[in-house]
Amino acid sequence: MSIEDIVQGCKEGNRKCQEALVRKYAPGLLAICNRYMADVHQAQDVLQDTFLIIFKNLHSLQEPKAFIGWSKKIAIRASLELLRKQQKFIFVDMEIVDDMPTANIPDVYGTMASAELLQLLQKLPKTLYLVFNLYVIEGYNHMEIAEILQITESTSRASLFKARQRLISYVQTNDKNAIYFTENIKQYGI
Amino acid sequence: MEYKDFEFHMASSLQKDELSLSEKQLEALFPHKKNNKNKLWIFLAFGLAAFFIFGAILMTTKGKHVKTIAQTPTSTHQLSSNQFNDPDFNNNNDILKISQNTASTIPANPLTNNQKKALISNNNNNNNNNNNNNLLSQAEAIQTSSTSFQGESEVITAPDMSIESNTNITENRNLLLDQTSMLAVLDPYPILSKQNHGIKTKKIKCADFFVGRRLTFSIIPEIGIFYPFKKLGQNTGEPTQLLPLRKDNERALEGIFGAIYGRMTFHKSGFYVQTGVAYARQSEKMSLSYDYIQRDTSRVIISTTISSNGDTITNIYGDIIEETHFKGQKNVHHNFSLVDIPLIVGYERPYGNWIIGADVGINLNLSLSTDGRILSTPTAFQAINSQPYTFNKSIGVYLRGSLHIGKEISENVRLYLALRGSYIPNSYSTDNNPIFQRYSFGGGYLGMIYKL
Repeated sequence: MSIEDIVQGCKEGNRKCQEALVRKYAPGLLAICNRYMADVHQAQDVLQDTFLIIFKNLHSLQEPKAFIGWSKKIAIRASLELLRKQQKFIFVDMEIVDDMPTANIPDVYGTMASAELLQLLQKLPKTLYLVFNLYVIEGYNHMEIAEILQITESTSRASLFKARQRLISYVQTNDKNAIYFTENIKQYGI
Repeated sequence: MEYKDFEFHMASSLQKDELSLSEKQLEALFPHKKNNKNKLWIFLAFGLAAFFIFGAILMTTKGKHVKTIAQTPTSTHQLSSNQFNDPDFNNNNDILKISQNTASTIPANPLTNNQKKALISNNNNNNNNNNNNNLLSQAEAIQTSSTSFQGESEVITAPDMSIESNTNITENRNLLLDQTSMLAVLDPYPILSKQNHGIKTKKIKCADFFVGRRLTFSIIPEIGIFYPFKKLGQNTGEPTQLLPLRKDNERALEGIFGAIYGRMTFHKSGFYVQTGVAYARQSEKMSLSYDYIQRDTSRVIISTTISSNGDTITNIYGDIIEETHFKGQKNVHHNFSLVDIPLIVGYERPYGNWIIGADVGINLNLSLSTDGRILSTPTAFQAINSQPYTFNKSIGVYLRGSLHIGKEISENVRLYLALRGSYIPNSYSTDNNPIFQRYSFGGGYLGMIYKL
């Protein structure tokens, strides 16, 4: 069953296609929601809302192949909407710095699994995390981020720079622990 | 590692979580029912065949089978003596057993994945340790899912296990230690598999996307056109000659309708109740053709006799009849206006963005007002509702039912078209009126449902 068939079936109200759509895309969309929400239950709630919006608006989707990008956007916006209800984000503007920071990252970070990376990223303040996530992971540009988060482009740029700096500082702080951990693995096999 | 490489690794790792199921995996989740039936028969047939073949082999080769069984514990025992001293090795034993048993039965040349699986499965049958299943499945996953773990897989097929077993313990241990990371890489949905088993397993029920409210309220403005089907008849009393004239010449015109409803929908069931205020106006047109001659008679002098000297002698009077021929057609209207409170129960079902439904109910008539003129004699009209041609102030309760089809225009707005019929059992006219006048309506209606 291709995505074209599934989307067409959903438009016609075919229950099987609706189920197929959920089964096929729920895991990926849940992963996206999970990146934004504090716990998996909230992510599941957002996923539910996401599918509700998807099914209500599926008739407006002209090109079934664009479904993945379209549904991702819905998941992100639904997540942000719930986040906004839970807390107010205050973005701090600063002088625009748009350079990619240069720092040496220990190689062990290059082998980290996604769950561990997510844990590391979630140490960032929420505002910085949102911008970083939208820019680096989701691939939005600053103009789009500004529109999504209702901030200015310069704030988005500044937040990204700050997020990167913080991330580097976390990595460098954890570096010693990481080395210790690696040595323990080698020595004791734990 | 440069920071930008780290960032790239982060993005690619987290994006892997978003992978969707492949088409094959999806097909596996939704097996076709028809095929299942066929598969069941094939399975039963194979089962029976296997049962008979196994029975036949068992009867003919009983001696050999016993010998094979006797050899197996020897190799297991050798492994146990080497490794069971360290309790930490318990889990690794399973992998080592697999490796050694495999090594004893296969040559050094590489095996295909299927062969490896088969060998692992054979060993699994010989092992009594419960943990084997988990480890076997992990090992199998490592073999089949990723080429980057081929090194570890080769341990399983190494020909000389007696030499390599000790060194491989460390490797296997590392393999197990890293299994979280590896599974995270191999499994496209690590977060899902750890925290949300429900979605990945077959036990999941399709979400009903119900977000809280069990009742939905809507406001529905509606307009429509209907055609009244009239029935005229003789009320109790003396027959009137007006009845055939009205039957022949009076014609109901299309009525207009407007209403505003409030609807309460029971979210899951598709049933709804609806009420509101409705206004309908209907007209009757009487086309009376007339053709008659009116005679006016007047007495006038028709002859005068005058003498020769100019005196008048006689006047003869006579009648002059003047005939006027009247011919033409009179078009006279009378109208009824109804104000109703409808009470409706309905059911509707969505088909994609389209919704098909039906409803039935009653209309409580609040008022019936009249205006216009009505036939009072075979050639004349009088104002309606004057004696004896009086009409009721209300027609009580009447029935209605409709079928409708609608389309979602936006999240909160739906348009629909309805075909509706109404049956009014009571007469519009009072009992004093020599003619009773009953109606049924049939019409088309256009409405907009606005969800609150």
